[in-house]
Amino acid sequence: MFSRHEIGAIFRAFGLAIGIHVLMAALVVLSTMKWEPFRKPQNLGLTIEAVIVDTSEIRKQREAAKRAAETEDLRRQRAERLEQQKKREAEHKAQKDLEAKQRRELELEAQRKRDAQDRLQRLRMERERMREDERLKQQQALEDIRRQREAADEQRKREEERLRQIEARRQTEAVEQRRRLEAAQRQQQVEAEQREFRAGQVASFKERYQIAIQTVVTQNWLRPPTAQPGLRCTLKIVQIPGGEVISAAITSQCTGDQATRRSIVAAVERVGILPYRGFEDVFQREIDFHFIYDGD
Amino acid sequence: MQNELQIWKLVLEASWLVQGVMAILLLASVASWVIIFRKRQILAKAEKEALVFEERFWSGTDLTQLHESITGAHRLTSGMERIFDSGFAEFLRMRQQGRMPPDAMVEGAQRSMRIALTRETEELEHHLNFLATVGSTSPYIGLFGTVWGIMTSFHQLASVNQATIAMVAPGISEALIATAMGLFAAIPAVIGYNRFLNQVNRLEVRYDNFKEEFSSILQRQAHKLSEE
Repeated sequence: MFSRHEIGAIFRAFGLAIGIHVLMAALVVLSTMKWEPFRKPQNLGLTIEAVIVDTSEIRKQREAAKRAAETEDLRRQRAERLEQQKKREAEHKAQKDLEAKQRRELELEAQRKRDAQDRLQRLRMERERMREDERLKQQQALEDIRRQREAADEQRKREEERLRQIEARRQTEAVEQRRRLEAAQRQQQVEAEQREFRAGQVASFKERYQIAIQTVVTQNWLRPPTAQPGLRCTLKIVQIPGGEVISAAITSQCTGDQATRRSIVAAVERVGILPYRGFEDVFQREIDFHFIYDGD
Repeated sequence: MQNELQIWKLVLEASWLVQGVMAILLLASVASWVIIFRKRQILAKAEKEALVFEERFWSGTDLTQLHESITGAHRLTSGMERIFDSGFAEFLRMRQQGRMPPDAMVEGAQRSMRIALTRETEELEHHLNFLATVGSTSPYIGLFGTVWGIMTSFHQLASVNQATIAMVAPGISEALIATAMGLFAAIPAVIGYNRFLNQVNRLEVRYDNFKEEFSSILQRQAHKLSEE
């Protein structure tokens, strides 16, 4: 009952439908991601925090503290005594140290003088070597600058050459483009002329068609006595291929009276078959026919 | 992180009746979207074919040749081609049967064209009534689910002395999802129904006009034949 193509189409429609639903579900879930909780925690009542206090415990604690303070005093006295002894020993030691230090400093002074002389000599030699190095370096730098200048010269020459080439190419291109533009313009002009010519032909063709219809309709027209010269009437005629008239009706643009209008419609109906052969190109199913009467 | 608050959790925790309502609505929605996509394609194709055929018909080609080219390839005709085919075939058959009054010939052709037209219209309108049904009933189905959900969540309040809004709120929220789903199914269905019905009507008028015009051509031809 279903062809394969049809089943494929149905499946595609089904896939699209499922896709839309998945998309909507994703949107809904995403947009409700940050909702506030529905079930809030319910401990809203006041709470009183209380602690049971035992007084005997406190007294015991106080006694223990007093005892601890006494033992602390004893310990402090013992410690002070120890401290004084240590201080005395330290002073004795310090004096000995001072003597040793003075001796060592004298030795160091002698050593330092010797060192300074050595360093001076070394510095002088170093300076001489540096001066030599600098001279060499300056020479090399001069050499380098000369070489760079030469390279730059060469580069400039090459650049100029390239510019000259580019300029030449641009000129040839410009000429080419101008030629192309001119050709295109000429082509357009020719085409426009041709188009105009063709349009004119079709227009004149339409006119000829109109005139042909006018002729046959006028031949079949029985002019009522009330029809005046200068009569203009537009009819809508429906025809089929072959020129057979299906229907004809007067549109609102008509200067004639009732009898004239009826007579024109009757004339078109009497014609029956409008000109068709030779006018296939301008044939249309519905045409607006302008009836003209300017006296015989 | 707040897993218990997600919407799918709400759906999963709903009562079985509300879940059933949601499932029905989801199915209806999917089905109506399938129909919407399918109809859209079919109607667009029919309109295009009618346009092409009309252009061909009124371009002034020979009717016999046109008929042969349409039926020659052994393919199924549809739309305007089918109306033309049935009318013209009937007319030819009548003519072959010998001397017949021209009015009878035209009448036969017209009858067969009318049958083809109704068949075509019926085919175009097929399944559209489903869209209408979904569009008009799914809000009610969703509302039913919601009412039921609210009923049960209030029922649970009956056994509690101190009721708070926090006790019923999740249940009501859960129940309202059903209404949302009903609306979600109904809105596209109604839009699609109106749109497609309008399109089908326009196509029908077009077919009818063509039928009338074609029968007037046939009438002329029949009269010409009888005069010869």
